[in-house]
Amino acid sequence: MASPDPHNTPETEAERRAGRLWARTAVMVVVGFVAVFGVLGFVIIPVAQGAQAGIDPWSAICRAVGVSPGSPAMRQPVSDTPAQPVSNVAWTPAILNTLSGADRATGQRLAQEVCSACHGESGVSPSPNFPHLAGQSAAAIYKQLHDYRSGARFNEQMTPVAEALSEQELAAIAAYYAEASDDLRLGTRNPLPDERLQRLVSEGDPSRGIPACNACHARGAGGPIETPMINGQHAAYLEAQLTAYANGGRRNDIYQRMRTISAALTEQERRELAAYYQGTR
Amino acid sequence: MSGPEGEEKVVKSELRWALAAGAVVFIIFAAVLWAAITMRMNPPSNIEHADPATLHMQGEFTESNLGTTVEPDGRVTVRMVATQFAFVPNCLMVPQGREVTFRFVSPDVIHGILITGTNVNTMIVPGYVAQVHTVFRQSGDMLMPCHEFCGLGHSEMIARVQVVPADQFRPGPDGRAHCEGQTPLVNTAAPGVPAGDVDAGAQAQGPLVSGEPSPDPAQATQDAVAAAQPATGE
Repeated sequence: MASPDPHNTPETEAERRAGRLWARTAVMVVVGFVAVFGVLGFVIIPVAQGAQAGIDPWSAICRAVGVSPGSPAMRQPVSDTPAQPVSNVAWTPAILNTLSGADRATGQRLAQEVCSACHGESGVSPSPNFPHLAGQSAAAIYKQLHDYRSGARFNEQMTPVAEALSEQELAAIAAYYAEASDDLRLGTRNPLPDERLQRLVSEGDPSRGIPACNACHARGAGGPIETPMINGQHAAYLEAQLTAYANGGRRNDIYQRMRTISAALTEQERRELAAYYQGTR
Repeated sequence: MSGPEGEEKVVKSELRWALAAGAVVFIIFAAVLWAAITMRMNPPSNIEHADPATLHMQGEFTESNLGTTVEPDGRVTVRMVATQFAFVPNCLMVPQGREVTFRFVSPDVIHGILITGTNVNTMIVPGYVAQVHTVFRQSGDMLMPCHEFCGLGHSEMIARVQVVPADQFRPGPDGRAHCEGQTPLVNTAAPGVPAGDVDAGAQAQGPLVSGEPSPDPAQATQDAVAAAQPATGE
């Protein structure tokens, strides 16, 4: 080390002291900055805003910090309106586990004893008044049975049947029919009468607030879990349900999803869509 | 530039620019502070939980509670559910020039809303209540599309917002207001009892405004405020 490198000389005591002073100053500036703006944002502003809106200082601070709901500057709306649920089915993990772990053998036995007279031996119904169940989604069957049992949906034949079954049995039946083969359901393909109907099926009608049928009802489309498969379903049954939704005779669809859509469709569209879906696979 | 003189110049220049930058930051903070205290402006944050699985069964977001409500203290609250693939209700009536609080929830996936021509814009995340306070300055029909892709029906997910002048805003005796031609979201009949053969056309028409329009809306507001006195808001 003949020529001393200016960047590599040993620090003098004075330099070390200056370095420590700088570090202390920097830490104090950062801590001071956080503290000042913390007090400003979480105490002074909320309390000042709360005073204008008639909110006590403590609530205002809690809201600003995020402990309690609402804004420190606005009074929080309260609602004590009683709940009027249209369906008592909640898709909690517990119910989804019950469905996925349901005993299909029990389901098959119950289906033979209770359901087959109307819905067919294998879930393929011979009468257009009774829906096919084979291949239907388990969540859809469970939801409807549960709604019959709770009174959210009413049918002279189905309500007493569902009321006589336990929660586990409903799940077992739903699981059995979901697995049953729906090969026999394939109808003759009904061509769509015109482009207008094709648009309803695949694109919907934004001007009337109608989403595409296939946005929820196509296989694997997504949408609410309880959405039934309607491909190959009896046209008479589908039309009867659409009409019931439209005139308020049936209203167990959560958040009026189908009541809104059915009421926006014309009677002719409901009939044509039902006929179209009977012929789809 | 070398030597102690050059270094001094550099330090001076740095200090000047640091002061300039500091002044800009100070002005911005002062503006934020001023807006927060005088105009009560806050970032749109609200931490409030709502269980998506049971939204439709309990509390304020059951079907019949949705829509525009005038609270007993005279404030206007709109409760709305964004679901695949519709807003419930799909049309809202709100008054011009009054404070309106929107409360949105989603039972399924992330949705979003914006009301065209206004700065009302929020995401709706399942599990939380999205809350927006606003005042509509202009009357008229506005569109409220879902602006967060939510599935195949996303592009048809549009609601209407009818902003009417305050003197034409006439909530019914229950404090509810509906769009013209909107069927009120009320489910008063006992569940399980079929409503019978209601003509679909008549149902779609619905009452124009819920209940009897009050003869003097200003009086109705006055009454509502008076009724609110005993209730403790906060």
